[in-house]
Amino acid sequence: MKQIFNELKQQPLISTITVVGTALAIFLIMVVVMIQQVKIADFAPESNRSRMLHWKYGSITHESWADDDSANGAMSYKTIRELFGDLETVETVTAYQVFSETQSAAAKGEMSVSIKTRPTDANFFKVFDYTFIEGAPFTEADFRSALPKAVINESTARKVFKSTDVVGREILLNMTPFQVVGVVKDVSKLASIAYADVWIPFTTVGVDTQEWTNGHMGMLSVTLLAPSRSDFPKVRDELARRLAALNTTMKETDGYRFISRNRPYDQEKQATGTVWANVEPDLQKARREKWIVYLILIIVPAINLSSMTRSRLRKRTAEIGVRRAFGASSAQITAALVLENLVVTLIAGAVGLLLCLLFAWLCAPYLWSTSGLKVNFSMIVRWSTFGWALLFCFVLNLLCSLLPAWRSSRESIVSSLSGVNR
Amino acid sequence: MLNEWSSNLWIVIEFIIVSVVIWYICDYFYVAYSVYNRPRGFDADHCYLVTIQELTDKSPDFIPDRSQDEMVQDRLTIIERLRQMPEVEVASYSANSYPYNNNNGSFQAMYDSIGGYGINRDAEPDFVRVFRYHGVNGESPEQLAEELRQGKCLMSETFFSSRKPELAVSRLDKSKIYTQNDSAFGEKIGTAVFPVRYSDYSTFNSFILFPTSSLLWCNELCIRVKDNMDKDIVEKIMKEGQNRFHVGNYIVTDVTSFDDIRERYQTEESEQLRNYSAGMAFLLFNIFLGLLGTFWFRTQQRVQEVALRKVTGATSGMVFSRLISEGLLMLAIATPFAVGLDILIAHYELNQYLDGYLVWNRLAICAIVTVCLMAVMVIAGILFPAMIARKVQPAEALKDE
Repeated sequence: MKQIFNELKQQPLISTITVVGTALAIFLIMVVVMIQQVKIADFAPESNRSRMLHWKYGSITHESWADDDSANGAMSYKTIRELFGDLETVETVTAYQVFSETQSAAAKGEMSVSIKTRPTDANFFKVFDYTFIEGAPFTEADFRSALPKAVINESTARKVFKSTDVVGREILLNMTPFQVVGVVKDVSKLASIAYADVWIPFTTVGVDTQEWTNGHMGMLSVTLLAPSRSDFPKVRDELARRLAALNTTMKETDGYRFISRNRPYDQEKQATGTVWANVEPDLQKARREKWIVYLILIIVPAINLSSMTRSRLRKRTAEIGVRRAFGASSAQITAALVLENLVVTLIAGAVGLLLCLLFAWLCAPYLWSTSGLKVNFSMIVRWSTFGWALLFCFVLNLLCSLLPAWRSSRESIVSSLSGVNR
Repeated sequence: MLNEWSSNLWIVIEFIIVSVVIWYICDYFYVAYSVYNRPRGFDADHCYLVTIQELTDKSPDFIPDRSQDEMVQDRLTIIERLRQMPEVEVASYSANSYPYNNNNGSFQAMYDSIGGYGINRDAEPDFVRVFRYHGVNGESPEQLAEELRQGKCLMSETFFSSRKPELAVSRLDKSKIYTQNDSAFGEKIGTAVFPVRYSDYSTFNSFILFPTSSLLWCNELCIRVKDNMDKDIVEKIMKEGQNRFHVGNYIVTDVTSFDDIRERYQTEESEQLRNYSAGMAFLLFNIFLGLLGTFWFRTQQRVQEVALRKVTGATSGMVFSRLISEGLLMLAIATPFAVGLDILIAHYELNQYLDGYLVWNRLAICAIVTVCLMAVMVIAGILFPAMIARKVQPAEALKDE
């Protein structure tokens, strides 16, 4: 160890370059991982993303339509009850309006403000864990009876009532009085399903009766919460059976048929998805692109570092010669050099991680600035990021030190000692 | 150069890989920039989307049993009141039609045996005035609006093909255009319209615009505000949202500028561009560091050689330019191989699409930019070690010999 640190001190410029180069590489790959993670990692209120399966859109065709003709969009409440009602393999199912909508919100007699409202069912609050500052969600009974009750977020409470202690008060949503039953903490737009300002039972705004394509399509999407990821195949099997049964009934009654497009999708596939309802997201392509980016980010710095390591080792051929003359084997020398490089890489890795943490702390709100999103430190920095950093250090080190170290250790002792290089 | 072949080979390989990566990013930027700067076919500056919502029967203000005619009349009253505002130049209802909008349906038509399709837009005639659509022969938005008023529909020039000029709608015999249900559909088609792109980053631009048959279907209300009169327009409309603009069961709940709609719609593309820029800057900086480190050692190791050159009459400038030339020579050797790989990537369609994958002039431009960027990095990386080398004192360096 002492020798390694002496070596570093003797070459301050090169040591700095090596450390800075590696640190930057680790920093950048960490940032890329962070950006990717935000789309799939669990964070409140989408804390159960890893157990979720989404069926955002349905695709339907009719026996009289051309082969590739289909209608694609959200589903009706009737379809949702038939397809997802009383599933045995899932923990909870929630249905909600596919898009949040812009409504006006006001206290009685006050100026209104524009807010985003998401009409949902009561299970929505079992699947997504909102942090309630005041009150509680509306209940299943409220939902079934279409009682005008609303959960609002902190910002809306402050904008409309100038206070968060507003449970029981009346809020006018599109000039319709709703009773506030709960106030939750604001939600980041990155939680694409959970995000809204106000949540109301969709039975209160008639979303349950909005339907077309002979009652099969409508305004609703579904998220299923499985007991664990390992249950996904069981859930998919059950849904496939349900869909087949539903299609048989529909064929006999009106000639329509649902196309599954391999739904439901897990969080990764859902996040990869295009905005198009008629296209199955190409997860393989997205993954391939992700790995190409990682590969480029690893290979370019690795080549640079390898080139530097090679130059540095050439300077030490005499020293390697002496070591070999005193009986060290090629393998021992290679191992020693790789270890030495690993130490340097780990130091750089630590610097890179520090940079990354600093970046996440200072710049997270600006990283997604174009989306005007609220991002906090805990959402993007997680233990798996540290794991990635360590793995990356290891791979980088192996790539850039193994070959030069092995070559140096195989130089003949005589040529090493005489300083003749191959 | 040849004495150092082993380490030089390593650097050349590094140059090849890095050059391919930089070329790929340049190609990405080139395509993004070109697409972004192509004509959009619409002008959404000074335009706003006004959100109208219907009260439910749970509202005390709900008027029950409103007939369809009354509902249409209510909608017309709202738009008329907007038109009366001194700031508003033109306003229109439409369905799935405004730009930066994912809600859409498609429409298919045939020309002889050739099929064509595009986005199906339904709108009031003034829609083309709000977003300033133009005919391919220079017809103004007002002229196009007049055709819509006469019941004609407007087809984009690219409806049957965006690549074959002979299939441009303005050149076709319209009587041969038909649909599955209407053999005389061609008679309803008006002037061919300049293609309207889906968004700033999309090249898809085929559409057909029908004069809407029912205002009740129209889920959009868009307005164009007169130049320089945007200030406070949002607040002004919102203030009256539940008073003057509360007609029948309709209220105005939101007004959003198309600048905001565009930004929200294209967030992902904008973020990707920004991330690629950061990635490219990082790679260039990394290459600079790598070259600096590599040449630092090389120069240190070659102190005696440099000293010898100086003894035999080389000036400091000659030593300096020799080292720089070595780097550039290696880049020159690496470049043909890198370009070969670039061609291979384009051949296998792994890069971006813009009028094809392997487009020679695009490839040439991106390759030249790549070489220039690499050259700058090579010079920057070698500069410092080379400056140290030119200061070598021969007597000191050769004292052991």
